[in-house]
Amino acid sequence: MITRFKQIKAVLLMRVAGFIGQRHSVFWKRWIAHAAVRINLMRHGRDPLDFLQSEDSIDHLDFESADDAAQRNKG
Amino acid sequence: METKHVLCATCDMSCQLVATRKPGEKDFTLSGDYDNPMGPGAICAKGKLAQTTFEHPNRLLHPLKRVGERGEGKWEQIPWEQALDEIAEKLRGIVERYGPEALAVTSGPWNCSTESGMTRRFMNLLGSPNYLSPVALCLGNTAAVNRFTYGWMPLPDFENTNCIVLMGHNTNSQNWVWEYVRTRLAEHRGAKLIVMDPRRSPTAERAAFHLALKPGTDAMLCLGWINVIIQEQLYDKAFVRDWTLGFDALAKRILEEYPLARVCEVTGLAESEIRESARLYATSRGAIIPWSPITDQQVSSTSAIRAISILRAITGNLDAPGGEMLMGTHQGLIPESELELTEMLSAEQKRKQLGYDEHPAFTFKAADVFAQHSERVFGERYPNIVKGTHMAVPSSTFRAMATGAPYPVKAFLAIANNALYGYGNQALVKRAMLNQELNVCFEQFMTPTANLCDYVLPGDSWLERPNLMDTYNWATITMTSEQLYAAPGECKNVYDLWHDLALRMGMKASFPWNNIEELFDHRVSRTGLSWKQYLAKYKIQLGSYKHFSYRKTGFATPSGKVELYSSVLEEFGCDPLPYYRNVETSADFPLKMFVGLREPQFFQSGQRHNKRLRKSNRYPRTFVNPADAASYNLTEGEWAKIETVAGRLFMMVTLRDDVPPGLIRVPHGWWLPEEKDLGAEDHNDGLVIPDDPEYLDREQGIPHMKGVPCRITPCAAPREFVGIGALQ
Repeated sequence: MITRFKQIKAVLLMRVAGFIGQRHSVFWKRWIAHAAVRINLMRHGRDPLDFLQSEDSIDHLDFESADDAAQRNKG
Repeated sequence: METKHVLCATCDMSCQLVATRKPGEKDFTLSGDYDNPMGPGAICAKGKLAQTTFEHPNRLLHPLKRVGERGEGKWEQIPWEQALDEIAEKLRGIVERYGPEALAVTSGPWNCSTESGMTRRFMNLLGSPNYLSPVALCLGNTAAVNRFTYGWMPLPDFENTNCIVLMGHNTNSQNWVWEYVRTRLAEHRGAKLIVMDPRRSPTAERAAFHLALKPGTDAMLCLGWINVIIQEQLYDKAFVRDWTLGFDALAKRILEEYPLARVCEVTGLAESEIRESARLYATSRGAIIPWSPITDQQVSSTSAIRAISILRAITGNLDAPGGEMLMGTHQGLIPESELELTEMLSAEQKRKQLGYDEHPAFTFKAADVFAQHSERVFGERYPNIVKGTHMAVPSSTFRAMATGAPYPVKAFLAIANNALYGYGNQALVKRAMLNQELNVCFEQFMTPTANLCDYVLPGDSWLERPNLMDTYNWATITMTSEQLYAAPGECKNVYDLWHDLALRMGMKASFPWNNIEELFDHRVSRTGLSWKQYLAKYKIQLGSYKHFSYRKTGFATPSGKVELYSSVLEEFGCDPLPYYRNVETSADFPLKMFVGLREPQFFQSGQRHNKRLRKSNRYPRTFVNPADAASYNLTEGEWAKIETVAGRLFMMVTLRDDVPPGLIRVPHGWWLPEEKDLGAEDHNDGLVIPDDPEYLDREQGIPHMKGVPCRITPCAAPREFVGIGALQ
């Protein structure tokens, strides 16, 4: 029963994604697609894309200041 | 405001971008598409700065013919017509003298993502089975090996999953961005992360379990998980009973040969970590193990990929919501497999494919066995999933090119692929190229590979062409991309190259489309739309997909079931069950080297000429644990020589305590376009990746890159660097 429910939900989400992925020329379809984008994001919680703005990672590997300093020392 | 949508092809992720420009402006500004339902907002610095990468003084704009020695860098500009006439004439001569198998073609599928199967079409019509691609070491081989277990490469269902297992896969806002966004959104929803990675990473810090295993022991850890799942009866009993073959043999192998005590000893993990993480994965009711290059590049690659496949299957995650989707390709489009005309290649020529017998996993030997089963389930005899399911083996091919055994290979075409840097054993690849009668490169820049060619032909970029992206023949998702700019100079689309060469080789009737748009018209014709209409209607089209389809069709394997015990591997004389193998350190080579450190400024060997990207990462750097640095007298910011049995390279030392002691990390694909010799033989990881038999995965013949025994010593700077001031 749970699997069946999950299956229906997954199929529904895929259909919504397919609708969003279309380039609608009719105004009301565009509006629905836009609303669907927002609802789809909301199901992930508040401000679900916050990580795109706030990531501070040791893997960004910015060596500019180290290389500039080495260059100055060498010079 | 003019707005277009475009698919980034800087890397293989295909992030959907929005391109905007105000009236009167020449250039578009690129940003992530927040309306994309699957990867909203995804874009990295490389994508944002793509125009500065391609609109660059180093860009190749005209066909070039070598006038000096190979590698000397002396060229004359010639017209396209002359270049193609001469190439065709030489190719005809080589085919006449040595046979069509004397042509080998290597192609980087992401970089020429509009080729729509035309490379293989040309080769199949000519009669050459020797197609190579770096996907042999990255995703393509995973796709091929997945077929042994259940017939297709599954796509993870991030949108509905409850558990994500990342194997050394540190997605972030600059690398694997599309997947990063999907992972973070799933985490926001409550999905749990399990990270298998020798080093600490931001992703590992967010995980419910960080399994800091020893490098190259991924297969062993997966075998340990299978052990726990069998012992504790966490598997899906109904699925195993009805839909799998060989469970008892698997259980016997695992329980007898891979007890948890051995798994703990080899991986360096505690039993409790292995048990608890395996439980989380197996009981999550919707769990995914997204593809990772980690298991593509090690001596136990086939077994690791098979063990992952087995985990997906016995936990009931195949085709289940939140699990792994066996999709097939979009039935509304003409698939690449149909365009490739694989049936035109004779059985005799297929058997000549280099590596066919020694390492059959992703060659025609395997593809032919799966053809009828694939047709039964997915409607395609030769699905070229991720363009990796019927390739020649790179090491075998480069050996044939270099030595003439088992037969001569005398013409080499590198299509959007810096081949010298794309495989292991760079010295062998160079020898192979120098032993050719014809080397041709289709490129955007004068790479170290192009520099060894006789003709260098200028190609367009993803900003300068439309695209119909079919998820690399992997799934039913199709995406489109609009052209933003005209291609500069005489740059052409890869389709134009094959079309124009085919005309000269007597294959005109088989390349009837005059340009890429006409080819796309043909590909979307089953939808009843023209390409223009299709592009206007869809950014993304999701084709049909049904969960649990196997209940009607069976799996695309000889038995129609999930083959935990692979009948095909057994037929090939390989071990039908997963096993563990690794390469160990020695007194001469006491450390292990992990290749594949992802730098946010670059994708593979690209972007090194872009000053805006290079200024924050000017030199190749190796990451070393401070304890190892002390042991080997290494100093932050100074140079070091790294040696393996294959050779040596030079890198600047960076101390990082997130790297475990005993391991050094090395980035992939470094060259220096600002240097006269392009820095071609000093910094690329391929210089130190051996491809002797003990370093190759047995079933695939791909080299070990995740834990190569090595040593590191301090040294002086390998040259007086001219610096990035020489770049524009």
